[in-house]
Amino acid sequence: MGVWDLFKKKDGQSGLDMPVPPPLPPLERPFLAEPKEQESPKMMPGMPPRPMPVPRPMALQRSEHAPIAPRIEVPRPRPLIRPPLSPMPAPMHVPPPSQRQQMPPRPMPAHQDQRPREMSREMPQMPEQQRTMRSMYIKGDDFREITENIEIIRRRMRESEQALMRLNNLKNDQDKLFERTDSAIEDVQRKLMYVDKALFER
Amino acid sequence: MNTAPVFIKIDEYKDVIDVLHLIRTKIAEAKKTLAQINELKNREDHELSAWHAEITEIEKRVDFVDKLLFPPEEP
Repeated sequence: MGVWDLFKKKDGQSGLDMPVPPPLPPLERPFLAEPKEQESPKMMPGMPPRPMPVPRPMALQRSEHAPIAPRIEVPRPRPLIRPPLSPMPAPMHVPPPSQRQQMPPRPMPAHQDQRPREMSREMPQMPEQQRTMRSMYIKGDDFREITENIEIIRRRMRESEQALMRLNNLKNDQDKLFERTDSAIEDVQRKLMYVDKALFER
Repeated sequence: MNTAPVFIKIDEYKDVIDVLHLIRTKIAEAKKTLAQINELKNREDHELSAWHAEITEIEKRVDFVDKLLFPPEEP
């Protein structure tokens, strides 16, 4: 018989004789803590009852007990009201597709097909709603002037590229001339040494 | 006859403005490079003129030595 068998229940006996509890009354409403009535402060025997404090306004209490704190004006948040949108004129004339196709196609340089890829890399993709908000309407005359100016700029850029090519060719010719002059100077130096030796050698 | 203005929609307006700003930056860089090339060209012109003076001086001295070594023949 071990030590632990000492506290073991014996056969046919319960550990403790507990009476059966009475049945609980049914709950009529959820159990909530009812507000207790204001308990009167416990009084010591023989002491007069203390009068109850009368609530006073807050401003009066503050002026008597605590120093007045500086009044801080907290700005109220402005209501989020959008300004009225200016009326945007609707396009009054849209050329039919037949007229659109009459425009001559512009020659696209070979290096231009790389630009959209670079732009898409630099500019993040935006949702469709923001894309539509970035549109703008301009006058037709201004648009025509812009296209003409862009054409002139394109022509000038081509001329500038050609000028740069000519300058590059000039520089290459200049480099060739420099190399030729350098070899000529080396040749002259060798000849001078020969003359020097011929004159002063004994 | 009063003609109403025609407006044309430009999509990707902000992208166009950004690209124009980029072009403006590139033009400023090109102008700066052109100014540097102009300065290099000025220095090159200065070096070329100095080289020209050196060559002229060498030519004079060679003529002088030539005259000393080979006196003119008497007719």
